[in-house]
Amino acid sequence: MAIPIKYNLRNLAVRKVSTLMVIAGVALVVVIFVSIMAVVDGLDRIYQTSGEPDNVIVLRKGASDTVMSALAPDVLQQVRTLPEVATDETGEQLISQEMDINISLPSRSSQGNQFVVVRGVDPIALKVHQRVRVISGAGPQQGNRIMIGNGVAASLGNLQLGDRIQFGQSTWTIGGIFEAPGTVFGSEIWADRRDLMLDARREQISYLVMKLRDRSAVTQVARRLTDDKRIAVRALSEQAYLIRAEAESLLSQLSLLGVLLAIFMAISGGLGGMNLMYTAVSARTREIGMLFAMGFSKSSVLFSFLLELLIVTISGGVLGALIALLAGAFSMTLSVGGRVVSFSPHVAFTTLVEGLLIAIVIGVLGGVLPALAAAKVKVVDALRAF
Amino acid sequence: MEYLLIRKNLLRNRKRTALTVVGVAISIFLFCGLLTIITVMNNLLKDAENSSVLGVRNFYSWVEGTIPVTYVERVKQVPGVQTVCPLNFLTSYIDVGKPNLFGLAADPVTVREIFPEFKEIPETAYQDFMRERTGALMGKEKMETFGWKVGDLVTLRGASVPIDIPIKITGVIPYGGLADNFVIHRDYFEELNPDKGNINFILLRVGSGHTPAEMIQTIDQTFQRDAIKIKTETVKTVLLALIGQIDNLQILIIVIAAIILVSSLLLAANSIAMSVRGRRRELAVLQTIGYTPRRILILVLGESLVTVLIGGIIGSVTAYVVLYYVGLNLPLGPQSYFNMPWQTLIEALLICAVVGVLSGLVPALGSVRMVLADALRRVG
Repeated sequence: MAIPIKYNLRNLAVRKVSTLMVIAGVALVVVIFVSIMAVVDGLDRIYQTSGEPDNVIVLRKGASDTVMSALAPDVLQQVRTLPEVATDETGEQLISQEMDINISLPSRSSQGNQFVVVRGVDPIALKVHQRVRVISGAGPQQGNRIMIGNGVAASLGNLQLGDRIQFGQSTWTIGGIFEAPGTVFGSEIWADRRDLMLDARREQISYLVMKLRDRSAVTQVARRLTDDKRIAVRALSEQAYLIRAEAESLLSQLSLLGVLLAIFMAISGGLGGMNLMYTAVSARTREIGMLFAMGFSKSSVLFSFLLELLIVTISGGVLGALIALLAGAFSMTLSVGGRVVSFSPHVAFTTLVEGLLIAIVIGVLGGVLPALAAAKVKVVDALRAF
Repeated sequence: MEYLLIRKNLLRNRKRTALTVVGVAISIFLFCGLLTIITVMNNLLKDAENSSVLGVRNFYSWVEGTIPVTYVERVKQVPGVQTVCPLNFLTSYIDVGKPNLFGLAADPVTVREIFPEFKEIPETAYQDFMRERTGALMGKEKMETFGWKVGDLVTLRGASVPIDIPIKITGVIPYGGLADNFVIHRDYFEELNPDKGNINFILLRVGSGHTPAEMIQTIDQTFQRDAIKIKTETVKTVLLALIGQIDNLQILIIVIAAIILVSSLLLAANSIAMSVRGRRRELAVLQTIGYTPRRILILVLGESLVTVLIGGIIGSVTAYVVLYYVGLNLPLGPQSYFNMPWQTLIEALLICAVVGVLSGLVPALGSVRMVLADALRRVG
């Protein structure tokens, strides 16, 4: 027969300060774990949605990012022969030749400079990158007319159409502003590719992005290009590229940090719980004796004490998860791989479940030994204490 | 007398004391790791503040912008410029799928004057590096990642340049900003690189009697009329640009560190509170033998202080040793490798002392209240 839960609840209420402290301790563990994971998930999500699933990016072999890449002209010819490449309504292949550079511009927060990616593109780029939408003015045009992302427009100090900014050897006029919701492109400046190559004294483009007719062909086309011995390129899906080139190491290190913190803090929280229960067991030796005398079995005493701590840690877990839900309400700006990324932490349902699991693990780890001690209490000794 | 009692009380319930000490030690261990990240970042800026090193780059852009190598001589001519070190940046890889290696092609003689950590490389190793044309100094982190030893022959395949570069590892960069990178001879790189006569960066040291600010002006003016514009910057400007963007992450780390401290505080406070609660009768006895409430307060505070300090010493010293031998690798802006400075160890211990007192406060005040209540009861 099981000992009623009410017995545990009453006992916890008697030691309410200690109980609340352990609840708070467990809640903190869960808050830390869930909020770090929320940052990781939020960042991961914005990168996942940034690349279009039917886009393939072609870089120089060995280049880890677009800024470090340079492509010979024969690559373009090779790519043009691929039947999988999509075309627009006029029959033009959706292949965007692009060139990236990193510049540093004075930022509004007066904390010195901010890095900005400048992407040199042809008009076809807007058809390849369909998430990029011109919201005012026009796309990049020859004659040093650039289009800037709304993110960068804000962070550089409320730039407007017609404003001029200086970088490189030239002055550039803002001829358009674009938005790219849910992507990391909003912090870029787009310029006409020929203008930019001329200005940077570059003869080769950095990379190609092409849209395929069928997204299921992406992996296969990418592998074929990468394995092609005639051209030294590395091709991969735009999604995979963005994550691998820019965010992967930060993401993996951050989630490692989250998991490590959770493990260590859970141990520490478990010790706190153990303390609570050992004290409870020694203070209630007489009660335990009574329970045995009333006919409760060892296992029901054991279970009852284990349950008591579980009630505490699960309440802590729920409390922590609720607090951590707030993380989603903040927005963060991080520099990831030379690019400023704004995103909101995302509290995934699975993360909440994991947070609760941590709370349960703390309860079990902290509760088992004291519960065993309770079950080992000898009736005679206990009753002698009267 | 107090000390004796504190010791007795702590040893009375050994299990509880041990559990609390271990719990606190774990929390403080984590706290030290996070504190190290914050401290190293701040130290980086502080060092940069006093640094007399300036960088000259293409006005236009950063990593990939180039300036003609002829500028090096002209920078040398500027009065007040002491050591001048031309650099090329290069990204390379060993094999597709393996991590990339980012490094510098630099003048081996002057580069040592610029990066203080190079002074830590043993003289014989550095002589080897200078003598070998293909010699390379490899960062400690990369040595571990690839399992290389000094003397290994490695071929770097250029990603930013269309060349393969065979190198011989002649020394290890022990720590600092370059511990994840490598340095090779610029002459050797120039010979292989098809793009001749261009460099990415000039690092220079400002001589005594000149301020960095005035030097920046003079150098920028010298090249004002040239077709290829340059920009001179302090190390701090560069770092601020890099750190400014991870501000948010730093805040997150500070918040987490604070939370960890609070949780260790809760743990200790709870443990002391539980132990005091079981000693109600004893406290009354103490009072009858002449202990004032003040002394009882000190007794309980001392108990929690000792508990937290022991845990704190175990945790922070472990953190110091672990971070010293294993290190913490987290790509955060300008720094990706963290060693715990000894100042952080001291700071952590001081913070432990504060936590120890704070966590004893609630139970200590509680015990005083208990004593007073008992006293009143006796009067009644």
